[in-house]
Amino acid sequence: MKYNAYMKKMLIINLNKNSYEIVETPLSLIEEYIGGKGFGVKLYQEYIKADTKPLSPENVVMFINGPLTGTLAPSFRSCLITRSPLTGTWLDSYFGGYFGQEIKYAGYDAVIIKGKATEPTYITINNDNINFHSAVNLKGKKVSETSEMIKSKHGRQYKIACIGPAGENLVRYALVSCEHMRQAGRGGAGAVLGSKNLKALAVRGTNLVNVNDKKGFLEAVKKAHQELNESPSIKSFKEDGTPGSIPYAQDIGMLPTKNYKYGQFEKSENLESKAQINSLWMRNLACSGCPIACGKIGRVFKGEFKGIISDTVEYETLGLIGANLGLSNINHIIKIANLCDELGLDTISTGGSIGFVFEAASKSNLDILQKKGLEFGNAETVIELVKNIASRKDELSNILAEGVKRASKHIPGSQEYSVHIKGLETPAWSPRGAPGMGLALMTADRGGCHQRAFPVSYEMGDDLWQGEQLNRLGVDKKAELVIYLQNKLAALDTLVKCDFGTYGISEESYRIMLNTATGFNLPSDYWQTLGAKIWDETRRINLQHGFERNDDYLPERFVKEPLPDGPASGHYISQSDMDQMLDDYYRLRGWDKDGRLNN
Amino acid sequence: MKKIVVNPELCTGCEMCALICSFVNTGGFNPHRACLSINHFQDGVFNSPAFCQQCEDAVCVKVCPTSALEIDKEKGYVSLDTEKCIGCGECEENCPFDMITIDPDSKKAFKCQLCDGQTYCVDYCPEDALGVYEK
Repeated sequence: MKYNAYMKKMLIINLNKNSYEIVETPLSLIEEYIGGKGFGVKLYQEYIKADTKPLSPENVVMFINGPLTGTLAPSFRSCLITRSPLTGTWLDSYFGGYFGQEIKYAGYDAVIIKGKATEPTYITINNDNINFHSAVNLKGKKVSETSEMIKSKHGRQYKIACIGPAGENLVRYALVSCEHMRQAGRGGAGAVLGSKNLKALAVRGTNLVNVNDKKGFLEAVKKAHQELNESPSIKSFKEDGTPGSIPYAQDIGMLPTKNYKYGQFEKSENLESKAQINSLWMRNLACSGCPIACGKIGRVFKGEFKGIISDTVEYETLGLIGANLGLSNINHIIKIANLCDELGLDTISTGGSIGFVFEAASKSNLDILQKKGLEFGNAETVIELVKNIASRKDELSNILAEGVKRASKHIPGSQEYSVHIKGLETPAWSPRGAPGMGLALMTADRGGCHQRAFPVSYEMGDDLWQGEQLNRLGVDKKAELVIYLQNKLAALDTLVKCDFGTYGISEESYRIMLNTATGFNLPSDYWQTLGAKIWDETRRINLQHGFERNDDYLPERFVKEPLPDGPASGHYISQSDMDQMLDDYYRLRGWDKDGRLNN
Repeated sequence: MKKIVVNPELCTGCEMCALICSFVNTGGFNPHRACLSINHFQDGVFNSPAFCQQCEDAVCVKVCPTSALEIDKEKGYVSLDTEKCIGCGECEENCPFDMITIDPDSKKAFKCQLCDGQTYCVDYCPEDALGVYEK
């Protein structure tokens, strides 16, 4: 049997008619684009047109697996693809946990959702038994309540993806919660589901995911496990989870602090792993098939927020809700992160938006900013704002629910401190002091994102680039490094890999696991070729939606304001630095000087 | 008799035990098709796999109308002869631990037989949370 590891079917749901069809997964997709992001770039262009409005019934949400998702291969996830209401372009958002695997067990390589239901709806998928249910009684429910109500009614074996109130209220950075504290977090896919009146998907399945060469596959998995066990980075994820990055970012001066004004936070120690262990951690928590278990979960066992159950506050949340808002009490941050999770808000964009308004309040006389408590370090205000944003309660929260790019249009003079790229609030890696990271953020296909390439360790000298130590503040060779990393990660996002797994698992192991699972015979230089092809496609999508060279620049703060602190104090990424890197980048990608494809 | 036991404090819920179990016993991956089940507790804080208890006084053996299930004292587990099994479901209905099911493909009983001593689930647990208990 050819191409085992694929389910060879896709489920297409049309909410306009509460109908569905099950189609064969096209062989051309399997053979040329592998899965995940690869399927996504082709299906996006098939289903979503240049003028498809993100919050219209014509937009499409696609949950897509990779061939290794749901197998024993370590650390694989799934992705969600749609047109983002926050950026207006391509959105690929990845989630771990158990939900994507369950789609595969139900028998599908992808679930594609079109149209808009006439009333709040949730869908149950039990193998090929698909049913539409009224979600009227789930309206306004937090994600854990939603999940629990559906499981109580239909059975605990169901895995749930759902939106919270923020998604229902079309907050442009609302997330999709995917079973047990794993989220497709960025870019507002939750609002797209909200616009479709789709509250939740509940999935279970009894199909088997097969592999072509059983013995070879188990050997490849064993090798990948061994690589994970031998990696010092994986050891750190195992022990500390992502909060282990706090002291690193602080040392190198890249921890966004007070709306990215600073690169170091005087109270960063309070955000470290140790602080969370004192309040929270009880358990290591893994996604399906993952031996790393970077998740750490527990109940807050003392203080005013006693009883809250939370996963580790991840590095990105610590950066954006902690340092970026000037908050240093870990219990407050746990509470706010938990609120965002439950209401269904992306913590990165939430932290970016609130940081923006705190700075605006200190600089603008605008009436809506004359509210008490709009200041860095005020946890009470942050809690109130998060709740208000999710419900779009008042004028200010309604503006903030639109994200920084749109909010800044309401506040004259705020352009210089509005921090986003292509409308996506940037992550917790403030790029001054690392121009390569700047380029990675500038060129990331979904907007300001650190997960498309992360060259920081090369710029800091921890890793060598082609045997050479790079100049941290220089721009030479940064484009070729960023392209290599982008291609590699995009290619592995067809599988769909977990970012953390890539710190241990070699490209060769990924290739052998894929070949043995599917029967492909892909050559060892395949990842760069596949990755470059995918980046051409996402560029094509960005161009189609009107994104050009002008949209590939950093926000003013990183270009005009020298970094005031840390080891790279005084550094900024100048216009000419950006232009040189972009020129190099486009040339090496084979695009013209405006970033356009030649075909 | 032998049985697989778990230290729930170490379990991360990664499902690798269930994944390898389904693979060895059915040829493909799906934790729901394993002969063990993982309880992901409601709040997500604790996970704990449950295994066939290989009861010395096994109800499944008693209710089986075709003697497909037998206590194999020498090997230390309750054995299943799928040739004799007629898929009547009596065992599934009566197991107090919900550890024997009718397989949706073969339509026959499906239960843990310790992989004939190989116990892959124990070997594949990355946290060393599983072991074999013998009495």
